[in-house]
Amino acid sequence: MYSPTADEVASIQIKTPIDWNSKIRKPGVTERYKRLIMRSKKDLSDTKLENDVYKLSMVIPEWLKSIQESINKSVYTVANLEQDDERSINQEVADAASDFFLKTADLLPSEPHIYRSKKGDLVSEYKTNTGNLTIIISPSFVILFAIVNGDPVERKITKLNVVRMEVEEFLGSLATG
Amino acid sequence: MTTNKKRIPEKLKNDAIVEAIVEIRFETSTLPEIFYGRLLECEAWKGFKQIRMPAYDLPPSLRQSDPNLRYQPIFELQAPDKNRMLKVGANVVSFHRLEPYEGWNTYRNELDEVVNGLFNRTDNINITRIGLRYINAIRPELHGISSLTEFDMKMSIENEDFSGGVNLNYINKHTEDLLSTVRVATTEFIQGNIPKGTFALVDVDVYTPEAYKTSDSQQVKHWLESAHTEEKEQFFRLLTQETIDALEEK
Repeated sequence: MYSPTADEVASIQIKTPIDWNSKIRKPGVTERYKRLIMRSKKDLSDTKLENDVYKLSMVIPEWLKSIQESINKSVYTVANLEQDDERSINQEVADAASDFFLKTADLLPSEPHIYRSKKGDLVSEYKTNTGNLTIIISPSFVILFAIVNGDPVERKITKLNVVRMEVEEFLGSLATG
Repeated sequence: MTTNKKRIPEKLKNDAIVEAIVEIRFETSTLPEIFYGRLLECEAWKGFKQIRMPAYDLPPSLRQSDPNLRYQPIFELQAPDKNRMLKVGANVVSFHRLEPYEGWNTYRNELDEVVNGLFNRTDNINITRIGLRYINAIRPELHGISSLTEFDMKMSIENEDFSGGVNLNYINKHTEDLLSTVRVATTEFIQGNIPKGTFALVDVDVYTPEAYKTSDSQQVKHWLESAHTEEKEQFFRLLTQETIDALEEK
C-alpha cells in the first residue's frame, strides 16, 4: 500500500476521508505509542535497572485528560454543523489544540480555562502567581500573551514543529523578566 | 507511459513549492548511536539547532520492531533560518526545504551533502527506499488557478464538470525503479500550516518500488536527478500550456 514519503514529518498532510469524517482526532503512530507507554502500569523501582529509574520523562499533568475530552466534545457534530452555536470548534482547531496540549502540557502553569474565540480559535487562560497568561490556538499559529509588570508581552508561533521550544522560551522569559 | 509533452519552464515567476522533501531509508551495520554522532560532525550542518522529535521518547527496541516506527526520525537538525531541516532516525534521513525554495541547483547541492554524509558515515549501507516529494500550494493570486476546472484534467459526474472539494490520488509507473503518486487536494482535505489563500495542494511524490536496493551513492544521486525531472513533468502535466506560459519567468 502506498505510504507518502516522510508522511508523518512533512509540514503539511493530506487527510484521508476517514480522518476527515472523524469527530475524534486520530493520532499518528508515534503519538499512539507514546500514549500507550504513558498509560502502562509502572513497575516498582526495585525491579528496574538504575538507568531506567533515573531516565527523564515528560510529567503529564492530571488535567490533560479532561482538557482533551473537553476539546473532543466541543467539535462540531453533524447536528450542530449547520447552525453555529458559538461554542463548538471545527476539527482542525481541535486537532491543533490537542497537539498543542500534548506537546506543552507539562510546561503550562496550571489547568487552563478554555473557550472558543469569535473567530473560531481555541483560547486557553491560565492564572499564575504573577498574572494571567492567555494562549490562542489555531491550526496555523499559536499566540502567547501575558502582562508582565503592566507591559503586554506577546509571541506568535507559526512554525508549529518547534512549538514546545517556543513556549518554553516564552515562559522562561516571563519568569526571568 | 505516454504523455502529451508540454514545454517545461526553467523557472517560474512565483513557484508553488511549500515543502521539498527527500527521504532515504537504509540498513547499515553501524550502530545507530555511532551513526548519529558521526553524522552530526558533518560540516554542512554545523550551527543547526538540535531538536528531539516525538519518537525520541520511545524505547529503541520498540522503534526497531514496529515497521511504522522503524523509519521515524528521532531528532531534527534545524537551520538558523528555520527553512531547512535534516531529520534523522536509525534507518532514515530526510532533508526538508520549506519556502522560499531556491531552485533545484541549490537543493541538489544540499542533497549531495546528505547523500555523501550518509555514505561516508555508515558501514555496509544498503539503501532500501528513496522518495522525492514536492508539496505545492496553488494560490489564485499567484498562479491564476482558482478552480479545479482550470487544471488540465477533467473530472465529471453524469457529464457535468465536478468542481467541489476533492482528494484525488493517482499512481504512475515510469521505469523499473521510478514510481510517482500525484495527489490533488482542496483545502478541506489539508492539515497543516498552508499559505493564506491556498486553493489546492498538488503533492507530487516520486519514489522507488518496494524491492529497490542500492549501495552506490552515485546511483542515488542519479536517481534523484531522474526523480526531479519526473516530478516536474508530473506537476506541469496538470497545468494548461496557457497557465505555464503565464507563470514562466522570461
